[in-house]
Amino acid sequence: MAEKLRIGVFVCDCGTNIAGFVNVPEVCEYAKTLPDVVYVKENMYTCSNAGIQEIMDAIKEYKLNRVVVASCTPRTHEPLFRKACEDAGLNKFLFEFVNIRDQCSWVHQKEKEDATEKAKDLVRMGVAKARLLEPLEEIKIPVERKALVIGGGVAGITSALSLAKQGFEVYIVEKENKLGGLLNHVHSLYPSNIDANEFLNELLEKVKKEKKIHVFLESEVESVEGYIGNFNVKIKGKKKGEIKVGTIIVAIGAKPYEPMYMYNYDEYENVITQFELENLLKENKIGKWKKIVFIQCVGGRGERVRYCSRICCMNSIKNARLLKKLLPESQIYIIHKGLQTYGTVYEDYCRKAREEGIRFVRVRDAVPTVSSLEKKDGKLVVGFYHPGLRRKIELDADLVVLSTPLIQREDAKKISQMLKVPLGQDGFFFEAHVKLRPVDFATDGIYMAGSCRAPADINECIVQAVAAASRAAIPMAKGYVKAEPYTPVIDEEKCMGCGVCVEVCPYGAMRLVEKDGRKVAENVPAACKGCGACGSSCIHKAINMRHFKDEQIMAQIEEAIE
Amino acid sequence: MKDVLIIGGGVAGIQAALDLADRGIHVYLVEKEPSIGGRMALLDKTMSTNDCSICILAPKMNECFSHPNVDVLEYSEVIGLEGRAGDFKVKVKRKAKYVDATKCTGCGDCMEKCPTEVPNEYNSYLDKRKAIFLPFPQAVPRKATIDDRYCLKLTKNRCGLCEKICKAGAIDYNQKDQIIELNVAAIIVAVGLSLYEPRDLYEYGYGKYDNVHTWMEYERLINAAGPTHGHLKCSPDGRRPKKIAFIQCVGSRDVKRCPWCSSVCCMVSIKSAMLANEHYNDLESYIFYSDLRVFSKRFYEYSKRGERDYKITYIHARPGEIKEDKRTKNLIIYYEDEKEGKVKELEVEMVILATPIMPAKDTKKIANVLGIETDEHGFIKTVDFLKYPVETTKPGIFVAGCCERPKDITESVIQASAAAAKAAELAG
Amino acid sequence: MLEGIIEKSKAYYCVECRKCSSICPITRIYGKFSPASIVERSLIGIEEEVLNSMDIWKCLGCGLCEEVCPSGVEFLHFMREVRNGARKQGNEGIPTHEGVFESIPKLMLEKNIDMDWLDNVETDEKSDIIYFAGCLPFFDIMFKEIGFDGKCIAESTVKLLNKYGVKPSIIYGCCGHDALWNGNVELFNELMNKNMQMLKERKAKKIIFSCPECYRTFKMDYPSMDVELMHISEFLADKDMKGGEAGKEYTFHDSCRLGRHLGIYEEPRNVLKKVGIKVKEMEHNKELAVCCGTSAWMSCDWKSEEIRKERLKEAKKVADVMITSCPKCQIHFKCTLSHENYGIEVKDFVEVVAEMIK
Repeated sequence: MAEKLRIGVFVCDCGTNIAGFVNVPEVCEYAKTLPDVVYVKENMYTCSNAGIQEIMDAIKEYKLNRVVVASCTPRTHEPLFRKACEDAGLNKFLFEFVNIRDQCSWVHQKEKEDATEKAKDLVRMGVAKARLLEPLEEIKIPVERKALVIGGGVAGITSALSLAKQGFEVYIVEKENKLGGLLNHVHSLYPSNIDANEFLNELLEKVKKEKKIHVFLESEVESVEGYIGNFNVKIKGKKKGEIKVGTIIVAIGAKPYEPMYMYNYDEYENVITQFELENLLKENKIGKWKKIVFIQCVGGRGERVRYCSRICCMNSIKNARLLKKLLPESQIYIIHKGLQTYGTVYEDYCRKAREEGIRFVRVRDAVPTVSSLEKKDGKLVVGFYHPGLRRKIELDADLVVLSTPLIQREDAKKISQMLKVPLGQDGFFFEAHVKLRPVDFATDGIYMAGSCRAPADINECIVQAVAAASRAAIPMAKGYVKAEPYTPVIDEEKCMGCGVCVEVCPYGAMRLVEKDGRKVAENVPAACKGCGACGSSCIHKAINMRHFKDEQIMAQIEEAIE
Repeated sequence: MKDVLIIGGGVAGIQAALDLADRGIHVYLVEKEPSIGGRMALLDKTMSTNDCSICILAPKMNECFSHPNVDVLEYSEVIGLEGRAGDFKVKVKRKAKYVDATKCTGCGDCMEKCPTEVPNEYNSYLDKRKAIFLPFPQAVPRKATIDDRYCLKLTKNRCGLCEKICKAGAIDYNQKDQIIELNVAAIIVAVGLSLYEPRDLYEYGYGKYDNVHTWMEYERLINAAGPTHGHLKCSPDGRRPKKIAFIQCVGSRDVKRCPWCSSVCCMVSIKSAMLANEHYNDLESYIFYSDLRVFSKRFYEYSKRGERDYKITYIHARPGEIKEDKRTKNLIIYYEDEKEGKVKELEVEMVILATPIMPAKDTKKIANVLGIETDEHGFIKTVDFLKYPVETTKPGIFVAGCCERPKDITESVIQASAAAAKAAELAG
Repeated sequence: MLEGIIEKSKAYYCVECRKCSSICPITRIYGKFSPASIVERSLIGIEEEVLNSMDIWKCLGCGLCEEVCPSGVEFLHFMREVRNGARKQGNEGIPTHEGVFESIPKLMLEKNIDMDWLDNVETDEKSDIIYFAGCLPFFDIMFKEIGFDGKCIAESTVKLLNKYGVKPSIIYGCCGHDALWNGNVELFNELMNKNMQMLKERKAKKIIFSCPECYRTFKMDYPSMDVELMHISEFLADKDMKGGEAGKEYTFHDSCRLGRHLGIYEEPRNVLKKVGIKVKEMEHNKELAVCCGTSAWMSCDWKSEEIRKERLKEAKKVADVMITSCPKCQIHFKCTLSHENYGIEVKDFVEVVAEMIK
């Protein structure tokens, strides 16, 4: 490199997050002594507008050609600082991030001197790498203005309708022979208690009228290849097809847990699931039940699955109210472990149920919800410990309704593998960021909505579905996306064509190609996320990652152990 | 392509703005405070992941402010609306900041020298700020504002120190409010929330006992940028607490006050208890609840983790009374222990009251200006809770975040994206 | 039976938070009694256990539970109805003073009490402004030995009325409060009808009370009449008055009926202030004031005594004289003071005002 290195170092106080534990002025003084460092600045918040301005001004004033920021984490802040470099006319890959907060001040709050020393080490390592940084160019990838929606339940339909309204072609792939998903099996919907069928038909009418929506019934996605903007999708089943889409929304829903071998569910006739009750209501097969007991959290909250299924409390209340209306003489109890009637509307709804005579009984948050469900003299008897009265209570019942959680569908795993998107411990799809990217996958161009994300009711499915449509519309409306250039450089001389890199690549961005009569690895930059799995697994050292080159990393290590 | 107006620069407004701007739609983001960021900017950590709240929000605030498709109109209010969906004419009042934003560098010299101390609403009134101020250090834009209710120059024509101090010559006492007119295709209302002041729950002694705080005060107390730099201190001697109690539903699920469930408070208290334990690892917490509302993704697991790893004890009871030990200022909580069937006393050093989310103060006023309805609790009403969950009662105006009903950050963000899609249908 | 009661008292709103029990003065010292548990038993349908229980007679009707209940359960209403139901099943509780206060109302039903009891006051039998003096003549005789002076209360009240130009007609009699709170609805109805008849005969336009229980009963439990009802403190609230040097520290004990039931907290305090007494507040005051420990002459035992002692101690911390507006509160406190000295005096509100006013 002919140009003389001129490195600027910015050290952030992060209020007191860093400055409270690390002697930042001392770190700054130290940074000034490092080779090629020509400018050092302490900021209270480097990420503030003022801090950003200082970086930009310094680049211009001191002709900086490398910038190091020692502050928090690249996970949240790297794009910001890179943009500052770019806006000041510096290639943004000539920026190096040093984390002296999460990996230093926060973990050494009780060892302030050592924390300061460690911060210096980290800054020295960062500067060492900065010296070896090379300018890189982002790749602009065109985006197909069509979307695939996997799953034709309320979430999928709503996503599709929103995207179509925004002007994009949408393909819905649905396994069953009709759209609607679980809605087809539900009697009515809270909180307005409208008929589920009517609600669904209204949606289906809209789908029918929407020319931009193409529905594949009794079909499944066979394979997906490619990357954001350019997914090649093969559909198998009744309607086959090959389509190219820019984005994908996963909305495969969930299914109710079947409480086999619990509470004699399989044995007693009048012990049914909430889902079965929906069907009885739908088919108008209501018995002359005088005493009805709903049991919440059957299988949920630590019994068979660990999580709270969110929608079951409201669903029980809805059905209890319905039954009370149909059978005014009946006594209805809901045994719960803490009612989840959150917000304004649901809490009001629950109060209405109390007024109408639905009785709620709280039991401890322990497994199982009730201690016994037996038949005594031909009658069902529900026994449980009442924490307030501190003794066992028994309630007779003509009908017992078990509220079971929603659980992930079997095909979730297949889809997870096909799209290379993760599932969480609970079996539901895992979002890019819990708070700020709740319907995005970490993989660009793929989004999620509805109960495949976590149990959600109709209102929530609809909001999520439209949200996912909003997210998916961004790259499609723009027409292109930029990909980071952290792609591998393959030394074809050294490559043995073993294919390990192809195996380990989680994004399908590596493939083997024939060159000069032998197999060598090749990278698909647009699909590549720059994770480096290929590079670190190549036993022949044939793969070197851009921006994380061996010599760059070695330089850091050398400084670390200096 | 037409423009969109977003009212409210909290996380919901920011998310909606970015979704629209990223796809090429120009957005005006009107915020009544001098900085965007809203409530989330004042929280310490976010629940269920314990991420530093401002740390994950600040990049979004900056991205929003510097986005070529976003015009942030901070310290502004919408005062008039005409027209219909697809073609709204909006009047916005840009309140005078008495500081020339093009010159101000946000250096803070003026704030240091300003002699007028005023109650600091951004720190839940726990300390003072100056009459010329930044709401918080990470404010976006980082430009000073003079509070004309307190500034000596503006109220009494005295002082004038900031003008003398300012190296950039940014102070302009003659600045006037400005009215600007915007033409937009759609509007997203995301005006956020206010919090219940539990002064009328005499039994808990808020405002009377030094060591009883609301959860929002606690957020500031445990925050490194807050008035105590993140150290929990108890009256009278500033010692740090060893036992903290959190009382849920203080004002919420209460037919005499806020009948609704505030959705987030159970999780907020669990989070707060975890943070306290992370600060001081011998610290024990007690959470008094009536139904622990932990319904969202991974929340239930989080509550169990709190019990297992962070010395949290959950007690099913709403305490009837808190008494103060006059000497130690410790607090004695009276609650019915259902395991033993008697009223017990628990002595702690600090009590945090989980007060509910209410509609923001001016919600009704804004609703009137826009011609949209509010519900019986004062939140912005959706036209149909089930079918049209982001549509207000007026076509072309959408809603997101806590002004619609209490919800957490995740759900605010989801609703914001949804509102953005709806707005894009009209503007795109 | 309980279903109807649950409906009427809105007990179905109970969210089982148990805040009521944790503030209930009885539960505080006797955990087996718990308002929450009584409601929970009812909601779960264990009717017999509720109606046969002696617990239901322990409730003071003080209303602290209702004051703090977030769900709007009308526990007092609930309790009265439950007691009525229990009585029908033969569960009548253990009245105090061998039940003498059950016979007095019955006596009063039989006979009108016309007497010229008060000295140095001006009354007018024909006046349409009535002073309803309640049971004071009976209490006066029964509790003289512990230093209760019922006559003084009645006299002070009329004197104050006279001072502001009112010559009332006086009615002595039972309002039916105790019968109602003990679930004896039949007796209550008879007393109520008798009183209503009497008021009609006298063409009453305004009734003034010194006893909070009578006031509450007329105002909240009688059908609404075209008559103005007021407590003597309300009557005095807008009057100009002057007082003197207090000389002692005074505190005010809010009786449950005047305070939580009727929401009158400021009027007596303001009147006292006008005559020169700045009330020192006890730790529990106004909305959270603690009951004197017994109500409707029912279940007076060690728990009642315990509650009174605590209350007297609380008063002593801030004052030398505890003022109350309820004759029963005074009787109960004086009973305790008669066998244990707490260094505090108990006086009626009107007594103090009449003494201080100039």
